[in-house]
Amino acid sequence: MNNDQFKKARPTEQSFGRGIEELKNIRLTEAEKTRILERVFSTPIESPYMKRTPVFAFVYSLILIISISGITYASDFSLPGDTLYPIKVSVVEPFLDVVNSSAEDKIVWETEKVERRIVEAEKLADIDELDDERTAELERKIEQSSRAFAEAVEKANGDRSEVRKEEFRKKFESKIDDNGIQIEEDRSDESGVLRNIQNKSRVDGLRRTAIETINRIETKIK
Amino acid sequence: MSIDDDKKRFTEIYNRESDSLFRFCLVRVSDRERALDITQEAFTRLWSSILSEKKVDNPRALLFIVARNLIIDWYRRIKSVSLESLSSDEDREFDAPDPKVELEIEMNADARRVLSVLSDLEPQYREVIYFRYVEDLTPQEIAEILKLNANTVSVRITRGIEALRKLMGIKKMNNE
Repeated sequence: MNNDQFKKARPTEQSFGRGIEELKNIRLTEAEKTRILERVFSTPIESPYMKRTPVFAFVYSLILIISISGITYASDFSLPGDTLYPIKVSVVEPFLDVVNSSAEDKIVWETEKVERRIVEAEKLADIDELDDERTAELERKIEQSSRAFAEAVEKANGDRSEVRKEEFRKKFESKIDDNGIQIEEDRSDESGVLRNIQNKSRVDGLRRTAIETINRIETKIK
Repeated sequence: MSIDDDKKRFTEIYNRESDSLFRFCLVRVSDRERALDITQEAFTRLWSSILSEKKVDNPRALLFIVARNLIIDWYRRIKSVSLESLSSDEDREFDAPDPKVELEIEMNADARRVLSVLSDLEPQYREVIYFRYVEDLTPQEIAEILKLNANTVSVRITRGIEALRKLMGIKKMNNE
């Protein structure tokens, strides 16, 4: 029977009923039935929680940003020996080192870092916690920053006059001198007076370290 | 409800509806493997709904809705679709397979003629007639699947039967 003949051969009411019954006999084989069921159960179904991923991602990101910002902000006030101090000097500041990569920015940033270390020393001295270990740690960091400052000044200055170099130097010196922290003097007894002298002397020593390091690097470069 | 309870419930639905859903898919896509894929996908989505504790009042309707949409998507992929047909509601109506095509369906001449007659029906009648007489769904269930009013479905069934009789020449025979 060709297609036209097939189209013309319309079913009777009886054969239509038989055709319907025949259609109803179309079924899955047992093997197909089992296979589909197994596959459905083994299909990894997306967790309902994952459907809320965008919301969760947003909330988690927000919490993360707030936490990081909070820790970063809090670490800014930390002193050597505090829990957050390593975050300040090992995470936040190295990040800012990268951000301030141009010579001009580096000059400002390294000056800022030296100033930060001096202020930390003064604060520690004020609470009488500027011991040898902390002084040595601060000294090491001041040396590093002062060296980086001097190198950045040379790089930024190039072949220009010494006047500009002197400007950077003056700004640097004024920063490390003028930081507003007054070390409270304890004159109650002799040991208190001695501690004050020792603390002030350590802070001054750190200032000297900064200046001497710069002088040494400048001489070396010349 | 534990996962075992969910599985038990799902398996009951599966055993009850799988043949019917597969038949619906096979008749429409004329390809056994494709029909198996669509059947599996529809059940997978039902399983997913159950697991995510979505309220499934009528799993049978859900299965047919999902299968129907998957079939429509499949047709759209394989056919060159005009912008006109995309915007037409008729595009979403029942597509009876062309009986001239060598179907991968084992069926006798009566069944093939039924499909041939169905394919000649107006699109709005094809699907309701199929659901009503092959799948034995109630007008209410058909209405849910097709997102129509139950009364509209009943009217379409009545008119579809009339159209079917005309196509089969039964009226003419009775007149004679």
